[in-house]
Amino acid sequence: MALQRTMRIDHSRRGDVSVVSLEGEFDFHDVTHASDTIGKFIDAGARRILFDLRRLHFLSSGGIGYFVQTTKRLRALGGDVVLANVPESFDWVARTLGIDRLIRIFASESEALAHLRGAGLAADAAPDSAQAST
Amino acid sequence: MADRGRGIRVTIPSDVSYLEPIRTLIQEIASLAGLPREAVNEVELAVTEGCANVIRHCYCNSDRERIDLSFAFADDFFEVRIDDYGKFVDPSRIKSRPLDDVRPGGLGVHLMRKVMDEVTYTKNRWGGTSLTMRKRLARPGEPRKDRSGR
Repeated sequence: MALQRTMRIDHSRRGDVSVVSLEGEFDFHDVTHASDTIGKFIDAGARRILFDLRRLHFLSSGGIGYFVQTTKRLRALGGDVVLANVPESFDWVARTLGIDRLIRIFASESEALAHLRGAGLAADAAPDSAQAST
Repeated sequence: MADRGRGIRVTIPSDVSYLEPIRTLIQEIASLAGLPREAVNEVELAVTEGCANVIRHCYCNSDRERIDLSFAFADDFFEVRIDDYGKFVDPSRIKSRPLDDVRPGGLGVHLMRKVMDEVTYTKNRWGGTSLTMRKRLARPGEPRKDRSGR
């Protein structure tokens, strides 16, 4: 019997940027769930995704691999992925693997939004009314 | 060598959903062994990667097999051993993936070697692989291992 546990995925929009907040643990167990859920956002047109990791408390190489795959997919579509609010407890994991050479990592959501928008500091844009949680 | 009589042994099915309770267990026993919080996180990561590799590569993602975990203490290190009942994997064939070739599931060996002080593979008595990983207990004032490699 598998034990039931699912990483929470919340989705909101800041203009044309999709902000995806992950909560819980991102292990191999969660890659399919993430692929299915976030894949729907991409299929619906999301091209610039900001992953907010502030509520993530475990990240394995399975999760890191997912970020890399999603980044490659979106760049091929003309989009991009950034990470924000990476907890210190596994920030070094991403950096020591060289992920920061492939994916931009920002200390805050506002910096990440500014990068994705391509200019200046992010305005305090309110999220769209459409939000999703899984 | 760790005193195995003072250790803890756990058997789990080869199901990735069981790795979360294992991490909770590691938090408890590694803390009791005297590892600082950061080192406990690293042991959690190494055990997760080791078990995930067993499930994926040894058991081909079957959740009907068995994984044995042993946690043992010594004066100067904390040891974790992961035993599987599959086919022994030649250690020379276990290589870290180049960082430019990142894809899901391919970084575990690299991470284990980064976060643990010793990582060894041996053939166990059941013909499978025994992965033994040790984390050295730093003495007060002793600097921790530089994991960054930079």
